[in-house]
Amino acid sequence: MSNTLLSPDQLQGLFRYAMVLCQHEANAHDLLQASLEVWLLEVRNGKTVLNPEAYLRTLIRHRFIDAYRKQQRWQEHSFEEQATYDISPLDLEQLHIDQQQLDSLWKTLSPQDRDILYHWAVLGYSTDEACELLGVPRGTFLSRIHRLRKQHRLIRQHDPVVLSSPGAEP
Amino acid sequence: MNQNQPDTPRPFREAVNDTVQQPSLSEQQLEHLMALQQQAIHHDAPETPPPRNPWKWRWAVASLMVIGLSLSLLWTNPQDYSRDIALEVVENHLKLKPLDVSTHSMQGIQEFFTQLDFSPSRSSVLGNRFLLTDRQLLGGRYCSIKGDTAAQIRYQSDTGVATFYQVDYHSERFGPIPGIDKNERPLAMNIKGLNVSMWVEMGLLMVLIENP
Repeated sequence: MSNTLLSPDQLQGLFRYAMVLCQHEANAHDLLQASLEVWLLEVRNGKTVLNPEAYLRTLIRHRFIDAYRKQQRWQEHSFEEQATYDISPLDLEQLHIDQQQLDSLWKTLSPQDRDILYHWAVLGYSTDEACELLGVPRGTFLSRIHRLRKQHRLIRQHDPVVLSSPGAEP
Repeated sequence: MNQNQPDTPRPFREAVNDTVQQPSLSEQQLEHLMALQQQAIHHDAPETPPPRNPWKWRWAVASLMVIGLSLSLLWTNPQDYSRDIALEVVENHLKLKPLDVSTHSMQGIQEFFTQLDFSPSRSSVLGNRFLLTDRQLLGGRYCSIKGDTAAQIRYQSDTGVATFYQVDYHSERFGPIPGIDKNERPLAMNIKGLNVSMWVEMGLLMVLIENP
C-alpha cells in the first residue's frame, strides 16, 4: 500500500468539510466513513492517489450530491448572471460580520454556498477559482451573496451602506 | 474555536473559518476511522472464504438456469428502447440543470468524470456530421439513462445549447442501436420539437439533442 494514511488532523478536516455540506454530525460522519472506505478499497486495488485529502473531498462531495439531491437540498436551479451587481471577490474580503450572526446564518446558506465559502476561507481559493472548481456559475453565487448581504446587513469595511449597486435589483 | 467577542464585527473570512472549525469528530469516532485505515493495510491478502453450503449452490444453479432462459428469450426478441431513451434525454435537455464542471476541453471532461465505468470519448460523428468541436464545449454533468450513470456534455451550437450524452452500451439494456463501427447511420428522431440523433460508437451509446 503506497499511499500514506490520513492523520487524525486530516480526518478532522475532512469531517468538517462533510459538516459544511450536510450540517448534521451523524450524516457527516457517515459521509466521511463511506468515502474513506471507497478510497481504501481503491488503494488496496492498486490505485495511487497523489492528494488523498483533495480526492476524499471530491468523494464526499459527490456522495453528498447523490444522497441529498433527491431531498432537494442541492440547488438545482441557477440564477442568471447578474453583471450589474457591484460585487467582486474583493467585496467579500471586506465584509465584516460578528461571529454570533454568522453562526446563525451559516445553517441557512445553501450547501453550494457553504462549499464555496469553505474553499475560499479555509482552503484559500479565490471565489472565482472555487466557483470554477465546483462548477457553480459565478453569477449564481454572487447574486446569492448579494441577497444575503441585503437580508442580513453584513457590514462592509469601507462602505457602511449595505447596497452599493444602484438600480440593480432583480 | 473563536476567541473573539461574539458581537464584535470581524473579517468575514476569519468568521467563516472559525465557524467551519467548530465541529469535531469524537475521540471514539477518530479511533474508529484510524483503525479502519490500519485494517486496510493489514488485510491486503484476500480473506478466507466461508465454508460452502451445498444447498446454496443448488439454488444458485437453478436460479441461473431460470435467468439464462429468460435472457435467451429476451435476446432472441430484442426490444426497441430507442424512443424511451430519446424521451428521457429530451427531458434532461429541457431541464438544463447546472453544470457540474465548466470546461472547454475533452481532457477536462475526462478528468472530471471519474465516477463512471467508462471514459467519455471524443466522437467522430459529432465533429464530422454535426460539426461540434471542443471550442464549443461548455462543460458537463452527471445524469442517468435508463438507470445507468451517464455523462451529459454540453455544447454551444449555432442553434442554441446542444446536449450530448454518453453511457456504456449494452444491447440487452438499450436495444438495437445503429453502430458507427458497422458503417450504420445514426438513428434520427424529432421529439418535442428537438432533433435527436442516436448511435453506438466505441462501445458507448451516444445521443445528441439539438434545436432544429
